[in-house]
Amino acid sequence: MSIFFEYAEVFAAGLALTLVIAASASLGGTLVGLLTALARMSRVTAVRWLAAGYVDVIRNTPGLVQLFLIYLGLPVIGIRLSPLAALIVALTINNGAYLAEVFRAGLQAVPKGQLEAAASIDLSRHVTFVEVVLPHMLRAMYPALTNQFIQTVLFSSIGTVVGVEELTQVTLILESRTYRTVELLTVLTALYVVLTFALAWASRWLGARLERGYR
Amino acid sequence: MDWALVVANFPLLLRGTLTTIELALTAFVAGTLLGLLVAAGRTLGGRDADLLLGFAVDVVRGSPLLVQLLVIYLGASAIGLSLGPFAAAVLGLSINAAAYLSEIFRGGIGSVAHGQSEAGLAVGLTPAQTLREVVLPQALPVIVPAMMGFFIGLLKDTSLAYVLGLLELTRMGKNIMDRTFQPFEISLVVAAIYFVLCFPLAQLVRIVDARMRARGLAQAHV
Repeated sequence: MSIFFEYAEVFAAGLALTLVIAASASLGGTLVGLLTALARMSRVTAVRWLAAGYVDVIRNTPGLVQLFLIYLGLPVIGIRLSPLAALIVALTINNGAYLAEVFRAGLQAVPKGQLEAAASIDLSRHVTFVEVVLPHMLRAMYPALTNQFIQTVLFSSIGTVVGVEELTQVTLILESRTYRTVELLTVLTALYVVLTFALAWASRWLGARLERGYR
Repeated sequence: MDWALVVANFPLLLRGTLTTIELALTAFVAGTLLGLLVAAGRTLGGRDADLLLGFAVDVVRGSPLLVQLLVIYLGASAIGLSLGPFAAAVLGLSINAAAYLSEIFRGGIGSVAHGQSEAGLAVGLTPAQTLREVVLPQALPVIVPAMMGFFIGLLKDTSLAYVLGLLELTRMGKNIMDRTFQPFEISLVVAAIYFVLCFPLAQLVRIVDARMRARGLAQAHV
């Protein structure tokens, strides 16, 4: 595919921005998801309901509509974001809801006997969380977390709708200039596939290393 | 909130909603049929078919749906086929759905104890009959809730047909926003319509999943 080498720098820049967007939204989403999962276990009923409502609303509406609401809707009430910022915020909020469910399942994956054992040898709450709960959680959540990251990489392509120059958008700009539609779309698909294959492979490799500690 | 504006544009939004539902249902049916073929091909067709179909599934699952829709729509017109936005959207969503659904079917098939298909073959059923009459019925408690959950995702994913200019709910909403300069109200109402479609379905999935799981386990212990 000669067109890939002709415009390698353009593709590289788009790919880099795609990864930056996905990484930012994943970090932000992890924080939001963790806080939401904790809020769902709160003693205050209103906090629990608010967290559950957030998860239900986000999971039952399209991410593209969420992006429109943030990019086009929020300026009406005085919050104006750049296309890139709006995309990252939208994907963070979207990720947060899905990751909240992942964290909830992760917390439930900690066997109760482990907590009782920790209490019986008088470990502090802090040590119990870091040494006992967290390893169980991470192990249970690892596949879901890495899968969510890959999904975010793919879904960040909606950035093209608001003009963020991530991988899809830079390719469509090239297409409108060169009309080499078939070649460009083939390269675009191939780049995403290679990227997700590489990410899936890296996550399996890292996962296998993490599992070693359990043998 | 400018409710008069929302009320005035509600018929248009409803029309978009109908297109969204039509799109999701068509792609779901076509995706199910194609997904069954892919899963059957990978289960019964030998090593080469499994590898080839597996690669196709990985390519679809490893690239964005939005890009797939563009590939079909722009790609078709670039090679001289004129495909309307609706046909392109249905085709793209169906192929995408088939890839994910075939994995759901394979997961369900894998959940049935191997002895069941061995028993089917031992009494003289063909591999296809064994799959259809013995394995698939027992895989249903795993497959049905997962399919329903996938349908909810599909309903939301139809919003990506926006990029083809198809007047489904999201595009209809965006056009109204551009015309009325009231993006806040309209995007809220659009989100609310999707929520009304998806949320009850999500509750239903939960109930069906719990029931089928209970039944499936009961069968396993008999």
